[in-house]
Amino acid sequence: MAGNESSLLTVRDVDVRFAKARTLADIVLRRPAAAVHAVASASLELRPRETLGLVGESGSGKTTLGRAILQLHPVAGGEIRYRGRSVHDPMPDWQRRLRREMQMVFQDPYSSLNPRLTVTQTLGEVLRFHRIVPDAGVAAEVARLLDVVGLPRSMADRLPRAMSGGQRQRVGLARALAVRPTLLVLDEPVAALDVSIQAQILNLLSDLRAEFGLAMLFVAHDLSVVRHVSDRVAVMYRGRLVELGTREEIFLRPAHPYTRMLLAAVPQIVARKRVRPVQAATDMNAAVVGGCPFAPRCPQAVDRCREQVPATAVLSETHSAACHFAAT
Amino acid sequence: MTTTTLAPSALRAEVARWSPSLWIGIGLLAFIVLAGLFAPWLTPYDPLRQDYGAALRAPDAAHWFGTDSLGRDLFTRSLYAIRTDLVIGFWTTYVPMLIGVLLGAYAGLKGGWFDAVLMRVIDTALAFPFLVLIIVILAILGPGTQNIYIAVFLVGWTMYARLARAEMLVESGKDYILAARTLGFPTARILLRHALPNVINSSIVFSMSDFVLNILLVSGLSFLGLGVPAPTPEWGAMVAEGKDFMQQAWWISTLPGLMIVLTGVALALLGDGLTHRLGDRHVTGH
Amino acid sequence: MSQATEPLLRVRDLEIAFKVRGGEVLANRGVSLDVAAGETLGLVGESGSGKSVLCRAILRLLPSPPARTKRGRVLFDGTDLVTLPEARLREIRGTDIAMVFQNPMTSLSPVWPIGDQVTEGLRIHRGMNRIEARERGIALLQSIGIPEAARRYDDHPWQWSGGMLQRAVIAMAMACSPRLLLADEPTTALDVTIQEQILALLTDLQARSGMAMVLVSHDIGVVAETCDRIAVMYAGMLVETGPAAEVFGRPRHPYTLGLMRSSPRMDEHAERLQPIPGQPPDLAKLAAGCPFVDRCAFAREDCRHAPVALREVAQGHASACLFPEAVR
Repeated sequence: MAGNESSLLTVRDVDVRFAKARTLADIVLRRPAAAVHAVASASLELRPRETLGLVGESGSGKTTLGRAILQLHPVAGGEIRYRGRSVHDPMPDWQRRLRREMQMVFQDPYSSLNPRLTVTQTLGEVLRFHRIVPDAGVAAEVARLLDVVGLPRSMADRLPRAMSGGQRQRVGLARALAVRPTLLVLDEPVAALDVSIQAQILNLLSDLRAEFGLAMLFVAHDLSVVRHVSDRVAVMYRGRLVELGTREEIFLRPAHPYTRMLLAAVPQIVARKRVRPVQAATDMNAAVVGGCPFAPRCPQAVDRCREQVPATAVLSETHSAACHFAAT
Repeated sequence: MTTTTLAPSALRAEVARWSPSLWIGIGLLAFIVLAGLFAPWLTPYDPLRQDYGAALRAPDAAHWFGTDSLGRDLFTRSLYAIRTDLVIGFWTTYVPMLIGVLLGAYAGLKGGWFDAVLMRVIDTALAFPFLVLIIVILAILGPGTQNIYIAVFLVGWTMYARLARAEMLVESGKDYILAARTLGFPTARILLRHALPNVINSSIVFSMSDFVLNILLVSGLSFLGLGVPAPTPEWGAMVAEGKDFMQQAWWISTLPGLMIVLTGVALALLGDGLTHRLGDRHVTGH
Repeated sequence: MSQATEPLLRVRDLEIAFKVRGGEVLANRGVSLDVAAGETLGLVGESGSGKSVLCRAILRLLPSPPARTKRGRVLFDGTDLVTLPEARLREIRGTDIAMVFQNPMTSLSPVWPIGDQVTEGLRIHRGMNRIEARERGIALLQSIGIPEAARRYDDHPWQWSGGMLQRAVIAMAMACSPRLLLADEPTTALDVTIQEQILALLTDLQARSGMAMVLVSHDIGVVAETCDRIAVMYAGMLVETGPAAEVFGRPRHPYTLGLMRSSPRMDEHAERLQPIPGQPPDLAKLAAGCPFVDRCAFAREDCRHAPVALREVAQGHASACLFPEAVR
């Protein structure tokens, strides 16, 4: 086993760009595609058995980064290492191993399952393809997986359309667990579910994590959910990682103004009506040219913020923030 | 791999969802196919046998559709033509569909240069009227059934490719395709097992009207003398033969023409019924 | 807030049925509620609870068939909207009662300038010409916090971000100074910081105009922070109503309590959530008795049979639970 055990996954200075579609003329003339920066020099680390929450609003690049780790998006720069070895190393054995060790759970329980395959077919295909159990043991293993995710065995022959959102999400989890992974990337796994069902799935996740020693990268926009599941939290804004810290650091001592703004905006079940100041609209479509990407919305922004991209300030061994004023 | 087998009860449930147009379309088409299969038993005449003594007879009890200028029984020829036309219709529809759906779905899934080149080829092919393109190819290759096949195979797949690519673009963004990729399934498997069953519906529906158009195409080519060579019974050729006798013997063109119309109606109803049935599956999906 | 005067909106015993294959499903089962002028009512529940159906039924916006009002009255300022001729109802829609929907991207037509869409109601209902409407429209856009409103009046929807578009939709609803605003999940499609801006804007507009507002949301945090009174829906019924502080301070229905305990909190950390077990009932198969009985921790034998009705448990606070004192 290569690499050091303290870090399971290392993401260093990763850039992901979305190309605008190239025309045939572009391809013939070898013109490069116009690119939009979806993720810009993101660095983070995931340790074994740890849950890292990745939060941000739409367009922050959190989903893209999660997908890039699973090679669902090509990476334009930087490196992603799993157990010390690049995930882009094309050796077939390594790639096959990665496919078993890193798995993904998707947001939309309606589109994440093939509508034409029953639960048994979906899970059976994975088990056979990766030879997780001998063919004769597939049925028993499917039953075991259903037990693990808390689905009655009577669901085995159902098609996705005959199941509720929560039940489908459990099937999606079972599919990811079928290969017995070490690392799960969960992309908004509870965002599409009602709150009572969401709580069932969150509890299931914490049970699975304890039982199988899973490391998780938990991508979500809902801060209260992230606070509930995460050991450490990374905050993204417009493709950049703006703050990284332990749960306590992020939620009790946020250093980046964006994190503070996010936290203040979360609606809480308080027994009193809240008075909020009315603000002018923020145009999220407006391009940011140079400087800190958050500067146009930042209540503390000064000229320097609009001119100079802030470096990452290290606040403690575990806490860092990309703000000129983080340390002050 | 596990396969879905339809239990009798599931089959009954499936049949219960059929709309009237699906029922009538299937019934009519089955009637036509059976008539073609059992032609030798349904008529005492030989489709090729000429009988100059009985030439140009109007429809009567002995010759239901009348006879042509060579005294051949037109009812018999129309029945035997079912075989010719449906076989030609089948190959000219489903071989291009197979090619087109595979190419289009692959292009939609992978994108990149393959997609770009394929779409330009399709645009170019679709820029010409279909019939003109076929006639040009036949002019190069020469007339005959085999060359009709080659000509249609060369051109007919483009519509299917375009349809399948459009559906695949929608489907490939769905998470179950991404999930299959994260599980390390090879592209061929993702394409054939996961994506194709979910993108092929619109092509199946389109193939119903394409089938009719292809029969009309072959009939038209025969009419122009580029199609099925005489004396093989073929509806279009029969209509063409009758054109010189329209004044004194209307039935020679008209009744085989009605057979084309009947087949067209059957396939149109089937297509309409399938649209609803396959569409229904999406609606009840949630 | 509510005074001794007649409430502006009174819904009485409303029953809405949907035709489905092989029968009928009741989406609203005898709903009664009041909204006073100047008051904000929060209508909260999970998907399928019937909250959006109720909201649309008030303005008769449900497609019929399949929907049908079987019973009940919707009294707006004394006029029954259920039996009102369509022509009279059209006058009320957009002038006296306005509505804001969930998705701002689909609430505006992509082909017309935003300003023209915002002022369309003024031209139709108030007979303004284009020049008057433009002047009023620019003022409206300014009042909802669009910077450089005069310049952006002629923008098309794709030029604006989601939060700005939702402001435009709100401006459109406010154009004719409605007395009642129905807001159906107005912030669900938006990011949390933008959600906060929109809620602040709605609260501010309401306070300034004195209109009544019904805010439909699946998020109890949103209604808790924004509304005066709360109505909780489950399986097509109102199960609890009362002042926000009372309903969330001392919930008297086990479903309300369950919703609160299912939600991860920002102010405290729990290792495990307490989800509501099971799934919401199939509306087509509801038996007599309490619809929540199979998921309820406090259920007794009586709950399966006794008719369910809202009963006052404290001043202005009502619960449909047979044993409201047991809920804690």
